Amino acid sequence: MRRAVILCVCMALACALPGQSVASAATATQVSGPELVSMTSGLDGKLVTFEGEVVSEALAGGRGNVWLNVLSGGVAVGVWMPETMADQVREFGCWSHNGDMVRVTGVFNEACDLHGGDLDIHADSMVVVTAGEVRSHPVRYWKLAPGLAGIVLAYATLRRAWRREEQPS
Amino acid sequence: MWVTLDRGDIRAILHYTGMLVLAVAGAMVVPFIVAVISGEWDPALDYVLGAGVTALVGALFVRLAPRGVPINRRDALLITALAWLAASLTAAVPLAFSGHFGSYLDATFEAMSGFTTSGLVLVQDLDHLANAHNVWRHLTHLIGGQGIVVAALSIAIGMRGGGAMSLYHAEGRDEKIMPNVMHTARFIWLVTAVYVALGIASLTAVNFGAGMGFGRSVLHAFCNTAACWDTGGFGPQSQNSLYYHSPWFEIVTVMLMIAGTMNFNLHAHIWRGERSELFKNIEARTIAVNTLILSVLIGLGLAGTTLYSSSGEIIRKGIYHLLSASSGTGQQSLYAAQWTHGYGGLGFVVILMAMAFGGMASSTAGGIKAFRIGVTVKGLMWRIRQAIAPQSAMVTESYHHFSNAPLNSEVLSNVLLVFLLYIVTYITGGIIGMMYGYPPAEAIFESISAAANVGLSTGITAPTMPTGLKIVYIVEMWAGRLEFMALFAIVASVIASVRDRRAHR
Repeated sequence: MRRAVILCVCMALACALPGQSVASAATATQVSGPELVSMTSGLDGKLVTFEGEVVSEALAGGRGNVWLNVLSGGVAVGVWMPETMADQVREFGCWSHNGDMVRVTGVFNEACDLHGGDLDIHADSMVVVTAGEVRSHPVRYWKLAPGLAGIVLAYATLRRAWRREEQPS
Repeated sequence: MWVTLDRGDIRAILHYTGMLVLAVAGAMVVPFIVAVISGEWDPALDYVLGAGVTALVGALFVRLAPRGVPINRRDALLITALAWLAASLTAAVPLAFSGHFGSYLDATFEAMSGFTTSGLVLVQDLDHLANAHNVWRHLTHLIGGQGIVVAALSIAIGMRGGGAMSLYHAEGRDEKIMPNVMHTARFIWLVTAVYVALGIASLTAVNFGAGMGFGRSVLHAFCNTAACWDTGGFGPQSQNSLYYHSPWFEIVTVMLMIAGTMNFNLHAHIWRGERSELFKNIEARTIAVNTLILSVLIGLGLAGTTLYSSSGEIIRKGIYHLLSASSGTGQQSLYAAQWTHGYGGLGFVVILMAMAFGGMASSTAGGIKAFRIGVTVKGLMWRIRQAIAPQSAMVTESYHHFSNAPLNSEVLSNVLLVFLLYIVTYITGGIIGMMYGYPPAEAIFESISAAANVGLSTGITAPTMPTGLKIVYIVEMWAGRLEFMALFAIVASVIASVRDRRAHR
């Protein structure tokens, strides 16, 4: 009887634990950056999932954590996570590159008590959805001609005006 | 009687405006070098093109009159007003080609916001902006913060004596720090160089410690130092101060903001060891009292909210933004919607008041200025004392502003005139914003932010806002920075010229 009870409890736990994580992922609300910063989402303290591009660099977040700033819908939001989780990110967005696109699931704070009231997300998990890539910036050489012409003409104009001034009237 | 401009006046005005525009063209060398170092070849060509256009415009203006042509006080006002407009229009050229602005008007808005150290932004996708363009945006803060005219005077604009002094005053500066205006201009740049060096060193250490690469640490340190010391408010990232998630960053930037909002003459006194001026000066005392009262109020306001009620939050979200607003900087670690949702009514009003009052005169700050607030309060006390004194009593009042001076009706009326002009501008901009359909509180907030050259935003300032409102804010930033008189001189001159022509027909 005692064995049967222990077995039942173990089976119940085995079923419940993965079920709980599935339930967490399922209850996380999918949002965009603008929705998060609208302050009307009603998601303060709730589990959210959002996708965006990691920009610039990982910044120290203390106690083995880092900050990633994730750009979603034109709005960047700070995501606080363990350093090991952030290691997956290979490319950070800047002028020359699009950063990795990541999907973050974590607790959203409109004013985080741990971080001086910052609006942030404390990440539970993160996956890289798309790897970053080089941004194309074709050089528009046509700008060189009018630019240099302007500089030369400006110099010639000033030189002529000053020579005219120096000539005895 | 309105004196109209003759052809000689116009040539002289355009000559000096051209000199100032040439200085802007010369400054474009800096972002060009940054672009080359960063391997940003297309942005580098934006600055070749920008410098070419700007230099040509400047040269064409300069050739209209001989070097050293004398100017009077009215000409100085017109040169100053035109120089700020011409500088913004030409500085916008490389920005417009960056692909990060919706139109040339948006780029001009950004340039005017940069030069006037306002900090309102229309740049799009800032997180992918080239280093060169970011440096140029922040360099406009550095040039404009010290004053375009001061910047040009310090490198010798080819002018001496009364003309140079008139230009200096026309830019909204009253203090004669050194006996000679050229030396005053150079002193302003010396003070700037020291603070900028300190700011860059400190913020580089903070950024590097937070894990940024050394090159980016220096770049961000330069940008944020220029933005805070010059009470500008731009940032190299779209999240502004929030990007760094660092109390150390906020401490250093607040110190730069406080230094930036101090009168250059007060800096001079402190440098000379005359620290007692800090305690006697009407501006310093007004700022201290003002900040104390507003700090208590913002603390009470935030304590009553559900979001920012802890002491750490009151300091980092309350005091930081209070100092950012009152110094006219506009650095923010909040998202636009947080001003109206979560910050609380009292906190919002305190920030409005701090922005409207502004920093010290002859500093890089905007707004009504502490001197005018202090003199107005003294004037009110003086009038009350006069009213309750016996009829035979002679009631006098004085104030200390680098020297003791009697408070008289002339001083008071001059102060109240500019005070009134700011209030009228704040309200007018707000009403125009409301006419475009924005909520009253947000429209007033944005208008004060533009006219007081602050840069905090409730989100109205965006690339999608109506063109008319962009132009209104450009004019507000321009007028607020020059404290109205230079702009009124342009309007009066145009009206007088039109009247004169009609009379001659």
